[in-house]
Amino acid sequence: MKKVLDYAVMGLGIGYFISTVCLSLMRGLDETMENVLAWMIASVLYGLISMIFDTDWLPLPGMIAVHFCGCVAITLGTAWILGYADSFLSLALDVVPIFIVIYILIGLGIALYARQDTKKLNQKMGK
Amino acid sequence: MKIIVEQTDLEEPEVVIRGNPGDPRVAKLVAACNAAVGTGKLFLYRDGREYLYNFRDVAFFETNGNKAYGFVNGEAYETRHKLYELEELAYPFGFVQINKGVLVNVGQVRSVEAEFSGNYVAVLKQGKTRLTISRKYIKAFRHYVMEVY
Repeated sequence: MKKVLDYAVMGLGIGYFISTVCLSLMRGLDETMENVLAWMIASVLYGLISMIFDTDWLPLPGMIAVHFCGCVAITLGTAWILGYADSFLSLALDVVPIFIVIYILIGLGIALYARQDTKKLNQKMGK
Repeated sequence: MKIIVEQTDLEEPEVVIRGNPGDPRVAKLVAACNAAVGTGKLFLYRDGREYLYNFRDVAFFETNGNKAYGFVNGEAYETRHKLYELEELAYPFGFVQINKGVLVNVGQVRSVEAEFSGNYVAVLKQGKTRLTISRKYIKAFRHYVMEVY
């Protein structure tokens, strides 16, 4: 099942990238395509900044703080470039609360994954 | 050092090392045999005495300062190997590095728990020893348990 999911996620990533680039070239950069391209680049940056969790560089609270600030900066930067608001303050007030909710939901998902992961490891070691 | 090869009818080759077990060359010979054919034996030292243990008897290896210690039945024994050497020597016997200074015998792990810090903890079968599996080493530990163990 994990293998199927891994391949599905890999296909999604490659398909999203190629279809976005092809559509941008074929149909030009209208507003929708600009948004899709900008958030695709932001997604790459979210992925890169998450690499800090694979290191022992800082204790976890420090890493979460760095990751959170980095992701907020990427999100605000992308939204600002796309012209989501007239002033940076109103942009922050609009975007940051939604960002925090999504960040917490993703954190809960990761905690649930860790729980499932340890369960699987224990089952395998118990055999 | 003399090397004598005798022809016999034994099904399995036999190596006899004659000499003082305290001589560092003896420990090196045991390590060389381990590396060559995986005898699973290791010299450990405690209170000026040498003990020959099976790798499988060792629950984990831990570095403290410049020295590495093997833990057997809750007792710490010094080894003459560096941790990176042990990592290679002990891997065939189920040892995996779980943080910067510890190699654990997966066969001696009772369970694994997730901590809020993002690390995991390995709880050993003997005693109440709990060893941190740091985030950096979780992937390697998971791979060993799921694919090799």
